[in-house]
Amino acid sequence: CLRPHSPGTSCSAAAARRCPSSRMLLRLVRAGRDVPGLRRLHVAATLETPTASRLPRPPKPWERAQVEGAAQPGSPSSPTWKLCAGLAGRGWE
Amino acid sequence: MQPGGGSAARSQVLRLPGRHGYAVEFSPYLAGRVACATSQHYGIAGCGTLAVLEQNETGIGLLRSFDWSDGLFDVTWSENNEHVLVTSSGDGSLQIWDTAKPTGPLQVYKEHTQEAYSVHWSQTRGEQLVVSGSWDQTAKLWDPAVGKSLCTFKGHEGVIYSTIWSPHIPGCFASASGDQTLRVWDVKTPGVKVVIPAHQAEILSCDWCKYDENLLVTGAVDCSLKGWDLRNVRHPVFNLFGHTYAVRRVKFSPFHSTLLASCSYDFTVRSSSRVPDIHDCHYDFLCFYADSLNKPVD
Repeated sequence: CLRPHSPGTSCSAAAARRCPSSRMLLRLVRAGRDVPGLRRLHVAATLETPTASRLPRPPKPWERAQVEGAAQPGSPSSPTWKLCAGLAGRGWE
Repeated sequence: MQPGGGSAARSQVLRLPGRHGYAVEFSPYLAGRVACATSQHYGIAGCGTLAVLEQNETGIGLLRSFDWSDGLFDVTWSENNEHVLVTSSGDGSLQIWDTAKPTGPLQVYKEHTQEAYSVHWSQTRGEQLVVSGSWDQTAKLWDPAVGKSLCTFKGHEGVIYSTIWSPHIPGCFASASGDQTLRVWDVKTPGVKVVIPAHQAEILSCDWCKYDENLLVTGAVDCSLKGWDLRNVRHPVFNLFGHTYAVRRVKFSPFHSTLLASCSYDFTVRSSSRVPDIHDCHYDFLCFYADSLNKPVD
């Protein structure tokens, strides 16, 4: 199917020899023709359970900054923090 | 990291022949580990590959790659298991992958009826949820351990390009759409909470400020970025110009409250070190490194 916002520019000259340009691909797909070099795979879920995690979840940088209460270097002013309490009463329009 | 080639003085290059990159995300657990969602043939046709890369002293190496039968458009790391990732695919399905299990996806969740263009794992500590956004104009909420979606969010009148969880507000996510709106949702209610007619062009990307829970940024086909304060959405709080083609993705820095970066179809990556007081500004091009949560941006 067509994906209008795929990158529309063509490859370099060397790469163009190896793969058709996006314009050529669109033309082929629209005409219902086969695309050269297309890999057709059939991949199935294994239904296995995930490998057990062994690492604690690291804090995010903004979580660390909140704990440390420090202003980020280079910012024009200290960030103001508002603790989250869901969407109720936020005054969003 | 430049899957398509090109060069930059300070970047490391890994080429994935026959694949075009659509999304890249650093692991929240392991410094230097990166996942890249790619598609064959520009994502127009063919299959896709999830590439898990590792930075080391010699450069970037391929740790693991997984193939899927359609293009992969987005990837997100699990926030409760360092091995697990989720991708979204051109056939509308989501895949759960385990970097320690190379034989194939653990699970495949197929509900979207068109391309699943966006997938994101919740960033707040109390939840483990995944949101997907699709060209079928819906967003879906998932418990990654359950095969059926928990909720479907309808309202967009065009394709959804991006769905991003708030880093602060549990159960809250934003979506960017081809209908030219930015919308904010609460998973507790299926109806939209906020609708912002943000651009007069398709919006390809959005992101939340990590240090101001009311602030978002959008990037659009009109080549601009706009900042939005959810307390007053009548006007953007900033406009950033400079890109000469559509803005493909925009991200607020994890480290700095006013730093953001964007990439564009004009082949540039740009960064702004400030959110300006005036509404319009041009900002400078510079080389940009993807946001590792372990390495502050210079």
